[in-house]
Amino acid sequence: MIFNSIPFLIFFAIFFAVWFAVRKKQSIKYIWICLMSFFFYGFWDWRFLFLLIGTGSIDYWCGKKIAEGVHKKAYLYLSVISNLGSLALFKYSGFIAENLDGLLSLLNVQSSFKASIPEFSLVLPLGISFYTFNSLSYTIDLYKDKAKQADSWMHFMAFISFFPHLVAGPIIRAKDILGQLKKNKLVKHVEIWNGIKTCLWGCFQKMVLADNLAVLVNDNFKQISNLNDSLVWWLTMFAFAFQIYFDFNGYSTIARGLAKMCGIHFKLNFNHPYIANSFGDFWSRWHISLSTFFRDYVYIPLGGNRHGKINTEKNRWITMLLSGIWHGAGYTFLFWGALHAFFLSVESALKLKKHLPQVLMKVLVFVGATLAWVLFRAENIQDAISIYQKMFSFQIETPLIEILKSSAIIWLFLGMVLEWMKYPSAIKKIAQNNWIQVLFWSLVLVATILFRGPEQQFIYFQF
Amino acid sequence: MRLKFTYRQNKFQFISWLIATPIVFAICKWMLPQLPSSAMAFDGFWVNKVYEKAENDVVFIGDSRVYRGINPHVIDSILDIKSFNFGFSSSGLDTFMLNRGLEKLKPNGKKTIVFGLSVNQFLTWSLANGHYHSLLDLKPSDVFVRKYLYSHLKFADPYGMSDFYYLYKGEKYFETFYPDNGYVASNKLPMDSTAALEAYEKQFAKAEFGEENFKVLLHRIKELQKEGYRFYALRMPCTHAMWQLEDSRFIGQMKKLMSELESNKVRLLDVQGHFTSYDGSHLTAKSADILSGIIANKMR
Repeated sequence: MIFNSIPFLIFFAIFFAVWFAVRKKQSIKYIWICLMSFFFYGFWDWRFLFLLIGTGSIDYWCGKKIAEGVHKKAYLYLSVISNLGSLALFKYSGFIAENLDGLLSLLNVQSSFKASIPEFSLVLPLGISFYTFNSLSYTIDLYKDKAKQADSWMHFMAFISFFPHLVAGPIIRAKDILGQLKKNKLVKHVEIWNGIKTCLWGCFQKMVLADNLAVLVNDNFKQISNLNDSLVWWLTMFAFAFQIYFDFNGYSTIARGLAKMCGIHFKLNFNHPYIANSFGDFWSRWHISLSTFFRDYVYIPLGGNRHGKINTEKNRWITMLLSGIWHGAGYTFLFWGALHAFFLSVESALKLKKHLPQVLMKVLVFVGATLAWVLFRAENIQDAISIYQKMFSFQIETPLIEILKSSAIIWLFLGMVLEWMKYPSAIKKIAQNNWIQVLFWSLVLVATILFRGPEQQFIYFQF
Repeated sequence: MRLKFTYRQNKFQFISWLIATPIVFAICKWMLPQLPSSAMAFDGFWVNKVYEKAENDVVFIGDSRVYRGINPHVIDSILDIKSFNFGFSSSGLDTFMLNRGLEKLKPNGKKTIVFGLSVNQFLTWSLANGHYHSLLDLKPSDVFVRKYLYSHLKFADPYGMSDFYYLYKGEKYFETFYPDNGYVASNKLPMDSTAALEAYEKQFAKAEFGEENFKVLLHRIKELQKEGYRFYALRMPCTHAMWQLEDSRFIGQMKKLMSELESNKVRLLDVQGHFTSYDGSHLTAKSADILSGIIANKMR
């Protein structure tokens, strides 16, 4: 069930009501989290619940062995193989098989790897890209002595399966959450109110901004071959840049709000990425939990930037390509990662941040990220190339007035204001007023109900 | 923008918010214009049509011209029966939809199917029946919420920016949903009887007529006739310009289809009358009542 649905509201009300009674009793608390989170996950497809429990159990057992200090490396490898193996099977097997068949056909060798893949493995289990990474962070950090062992299997499963982050992140680290789950922290009313406000803001971003922008983006992507106007495509891609931001940030914000209400603190996952003044800065602001995961577990172990320029570039490209392919088993995602690696390399080589004014850098980063989103959104490379050609044809067929009539313009404008506006101190002073706060949050809820767009699935559910 | 509040301020804000929000909601609803159609009623209507176990004497099968053009209330009052409108958007006519329509008939009733025909129903892209399948793909929880809760949540109908634009231009698209019999009474102001022509012209340019599918359908009809089912068919009225467009592209196929239906004991209903379409394809609610009356009298 999705967060912005009536069944979820009922689910959370039940969870929260019982949570207050059980939060001080550790073992019951873990059981309650697990039961409800398994129900939450199984609501989508109960068959894959066994995969979640299975891989989680393997990691718990490997973690136990690592903590005991016996054959640590072997158990670490087992955990990595288990997680990446399940990811490879369910997410990448079809892609790998298709490419193998293609490669062999070029050599005039008949093969049917794709056809021989069992049907169940072609279904992508919800959240697999997220919970496998959560799980991996546990065993890797245990191995490096950066985390403490979970108290029990329940404690560990409560961390892995905690429903606010289970299906679309943020990717949480065991060292950050296990301790919080263990504490019998009294959740103050303030935190509940802050949690509610956080959830409201997330819902507004997702249901009003992202879902309304999606209408324009989806309509235009359905007619790529017929739509040739350059301005329309630039507008569409700007709309998508904000759609994906508000969709994903909305989800993460709701997840943070729900966790907050339970007394659990999730770190920020987005920090105004479109005000970044360099591509490096962009990646410290966009999907922070994923970029820090790749930094800590891929980039730094490879050597980071410590072994000369060539190795730095090599490590950067490997990290960005893996980040791209994490998002999806397709060449568009691979090239999306590659394009961002290219931007980072050029920025580093030419020392752009040093030589260009900050405003120009911000524009460059936003436009660069928008161009990269073409690859992210397009179904295939051919469509992406077609869109790039149209964007740079500078062919304008639609009168500007017709473009401005599009209702998405209003949501795009509002999104830009929310992202880019610097609030003067006078506004901060007004916002400090209690009645203004009450009115503001009432309007946010009312606007979310009355101006919500046609329901769209959360974009990152597909990863 | 990070703000800090004391414990008392937060408590005050939370309690005040709980009280203020319904008031703010009521004020906003009062200020906003009334929408001519309800999105919540729309969602609930379609779920009811697919999932409601209905027992009827007569079922009308077709596309949007049917669900907006045939009013079972009128038919029922004339023929003293229970009928159901099983039309779906851009619906294709094939054995799959026929079998689904049969499920809406009561076993010991009049066992009658009426096809409201249009060219669109036999084009290959319509035969995918995307609208119907999208409703079948709904999760049980979504079905439950739409079926039982949405009718009570019409006050939460969303506003799109285009709603304000059309209201400002004086354009209104009225829809009243009748979930008990599957009919949608619709009207559009201002009326433009050529509005749909361009869209249909584009669709027809790349469309193919599914002749093989029709052969399979005929075979199924013959099987059902042996079991005592009766069939009627009518070509759904629309504007003269729309019929001309359809006939210019597919006249051979439609004529052949109608003649084959007739030769297979499907009774064709000749529904002559003065009808008004608000977009060239769909009838106004008043014309739908007129058409329904004619259908009922022809079926007597």
